[in-house]
Amino acid sequence: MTKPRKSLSQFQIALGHFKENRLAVVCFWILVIFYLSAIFADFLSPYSFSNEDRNYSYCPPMEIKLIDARHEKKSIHPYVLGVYMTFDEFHKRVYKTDSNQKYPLKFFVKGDAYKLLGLFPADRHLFGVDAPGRIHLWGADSRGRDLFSRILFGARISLSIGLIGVTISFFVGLLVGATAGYYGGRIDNILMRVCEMFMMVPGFYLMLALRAAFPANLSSVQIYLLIIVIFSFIGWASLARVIRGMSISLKEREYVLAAKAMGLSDLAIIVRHILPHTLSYSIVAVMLSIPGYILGESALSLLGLGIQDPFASWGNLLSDAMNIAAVKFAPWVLIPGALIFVTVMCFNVIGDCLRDCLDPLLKSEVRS
Amino acid sequence: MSEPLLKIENLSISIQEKDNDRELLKDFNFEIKNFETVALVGGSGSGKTTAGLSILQLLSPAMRIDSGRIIFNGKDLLAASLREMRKIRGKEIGVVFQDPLNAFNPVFTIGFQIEEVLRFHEPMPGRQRREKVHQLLNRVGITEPQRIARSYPHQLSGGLRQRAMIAQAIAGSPKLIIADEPTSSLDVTLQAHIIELFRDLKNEFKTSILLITHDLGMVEHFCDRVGVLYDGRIVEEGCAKDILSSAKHPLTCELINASKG
Amino acid sequence: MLLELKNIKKYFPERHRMKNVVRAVDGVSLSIKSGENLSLVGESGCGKTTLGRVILKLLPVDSGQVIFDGTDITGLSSGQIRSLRKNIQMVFQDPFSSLDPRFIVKNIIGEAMIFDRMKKSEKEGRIRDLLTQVALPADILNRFPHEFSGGERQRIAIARGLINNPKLLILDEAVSSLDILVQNQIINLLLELQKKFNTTYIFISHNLRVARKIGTHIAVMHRGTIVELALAQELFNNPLHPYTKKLLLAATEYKTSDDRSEGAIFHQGDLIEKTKGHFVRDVPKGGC
Repeated sequence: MTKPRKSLSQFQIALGHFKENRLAVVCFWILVIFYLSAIFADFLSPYSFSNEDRNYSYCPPMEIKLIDARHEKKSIHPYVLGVYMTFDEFHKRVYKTDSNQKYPLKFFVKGDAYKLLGLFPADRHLFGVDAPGRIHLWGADSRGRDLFSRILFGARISLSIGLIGVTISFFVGLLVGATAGYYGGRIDNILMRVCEMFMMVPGFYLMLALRAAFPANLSSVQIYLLIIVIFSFIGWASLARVIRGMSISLKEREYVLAAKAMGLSDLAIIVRHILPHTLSYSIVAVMLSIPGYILGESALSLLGLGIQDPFASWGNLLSDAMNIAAVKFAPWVLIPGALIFVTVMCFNVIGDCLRDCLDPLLKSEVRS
Repeated sequence: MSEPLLKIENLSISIQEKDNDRELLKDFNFEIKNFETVALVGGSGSGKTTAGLSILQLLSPAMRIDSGRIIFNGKDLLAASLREMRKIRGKEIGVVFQDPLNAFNPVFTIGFQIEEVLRFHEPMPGRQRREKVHQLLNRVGITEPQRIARSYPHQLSGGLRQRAMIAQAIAGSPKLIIADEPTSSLDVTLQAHIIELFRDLKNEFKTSILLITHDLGMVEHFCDRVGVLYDGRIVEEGCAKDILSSAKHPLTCELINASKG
Repeated sequence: MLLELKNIKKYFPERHRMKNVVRAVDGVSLSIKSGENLSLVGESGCGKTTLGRVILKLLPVDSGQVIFDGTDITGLSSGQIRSLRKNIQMVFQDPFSSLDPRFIVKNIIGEAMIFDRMKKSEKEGRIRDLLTQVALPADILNRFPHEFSGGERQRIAIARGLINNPKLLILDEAVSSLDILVQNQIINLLLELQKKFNTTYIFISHNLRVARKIGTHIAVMHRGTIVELALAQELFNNPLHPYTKKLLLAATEYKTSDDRSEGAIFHQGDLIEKTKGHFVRDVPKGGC
């Protein structure tokens, strides 16, 4: 008969299996860290994204030193050495550290003002150094803006565009797909033809074309929204097609018939009995399409059509890396690329693991 | 002749289930002689399907054989290698599964799937093989073997599918046929036809048949011996006529009453 | 008269050829009195399931009338039907797929109670009460269907069917996928519940033995029409139509009659009352 312990829904069972996959869990926490860093970027970064100092143009990443070599006693207070720019014999810019100038690393430092979470005015930053020293953990870009800070701010755009775009596609795709599949006939025909029209359009070129169609001097916020709209515009169609196929087979299930016999309305049946059973596919599909959005935004911004200076996104940070000189002499400009890579990999790993967790379990649990 | 064809000794099988293990078969002992038709009956959960499938090691991975031996034709099947098992499956022992819609692969034709048995066990030129398949289908009472061999499982009615399943089971001329609830997915008149088919085949091919079922009505017309299972153990065993006329164990009585209605 | 069916016809177009139709239900007329169960028996494909769905208004009829409790419900739209659904409910065949695997028991049964505006606690109380009546423990409200056996799930389905106290409950092969001991348990349960709930059953099955236990009357269906209709006992003692005889033979003795032709057509002509309350469809001479 029934067992005397808490019964688990299928999602909870899938979650349990997910936790067993170490790699996926690690990826999950990496993403959590990324997203939290993006949310609290103002606080975590020592400078605002537009804070520049041309004296530090292409400054290499600074080391945080822990031990004071000059004095005998070891001081464990971390500090950064002052840096100044000179030219070497080839008239190439080099940075040298001055061991006489020590800037201790301070925490909860007063810095550029900002609004935490957009609401609360504040000016404390997690760490920083007193002026005139600067701390560039990951180096600086051509204008002397701290890359670490700009990367954190850039994360906001790159990571959120994916999520928002995907959410819109998700809801539109589910609704259209389920409606087409459930009703069939002419409604199905019309909706699927519309779907196919959207799918025919090559996404990236559509993005370029749409972007080009709009005036070049849109504010960054408008560009941001435009990109989201474009992505959702093309993203929902493939999801809708699959959901439609699933709905067609799901509507024949006996519990759907039972719900009809009970007098439930069509909408209630679709939302309560059909869509939840498509979630195992939808969630995975959504998870695996987020990287596409991130890469799309990066590509647009890289080409100069997306987020513009002074705002940062990982894509437009990479535009600094588009010349070989920069890559050779200032390789730290590639860090955003590495982060994009890691993010995309994490989403893929999690999506893959979710797919394994959700599907076979459905079969083995329904008949126990 | 005195040695039984199949002898199951002290078989114990348990299944891993969430928190704890559940015993499906407890110290199960059973014998099938040559040319004998034996039935294993019991309610759901009694272990009869597990017992039948364990012979060919067709158990799910969550199941574990704790102890026991299964001796078929002198060889311990549980100790046999995978290659040896493959030689036996389909050739010496055939299986008729419960639900022919699920037991057939939906993307291949019936003919192809029956041919698979022959392809693996009895190599012969293609045309001869197809001929043999048609003969087999004819033998199980299918009047248009060519058309059926070209059809896919979902195109056939339940009765035809079950006959095709039986054709596949006898394709290798096995010494033992295990039939796991062969009629439970069929209508009452189709059930009768299938049982009659089994009877004919038994007489013609001289195989032993192990029938797994929960319906004693079927047993009455068909089987020599019966073993009644409850909770993983045999509770009553003996000659079919004896058991059905004078059952001793309360569960057997319950099953008999239920079948008569 | 609780339910009256007048010359119901339901055809389906054959899949690949639009011209040919499958005559699933080809002129069925029945009447059922409140309190008198009807068992509808026949082989698969004879149209009994389709007929059940037509009564439940899950399928529209092509012609004929369905009169429930004096009201002609044939032409009503789904909106108008909704209030009527409280009174006609169904229990389906496959206990594994008739309960949504993602719903907990409380919601499976509670979902049926869309007609009442009850407080949550009242609803729960009623569900618990019903679970006890179908011999299930009342604390299973938060469990999922996959934790139960086939027989237990079917009880949940029956609870769901009865929660609105319907006047008519259609059971479509409700015990066919259960093993024999459990079948009997469920049948006995249904008979008990009938006394408490005052429901009338239409029991659709291919199993005559089971049909006889529940049905006051038995109607034998073949190829879309009713070939014989009589009181249960009378049908078993005195089957008149050759198809009925064939079914009975197969059901009780596992022997088939000599007639192996599955293609024989057994219905032509009208239903004739041979003795009081016992109707048979005449078979033309030399037809079998």
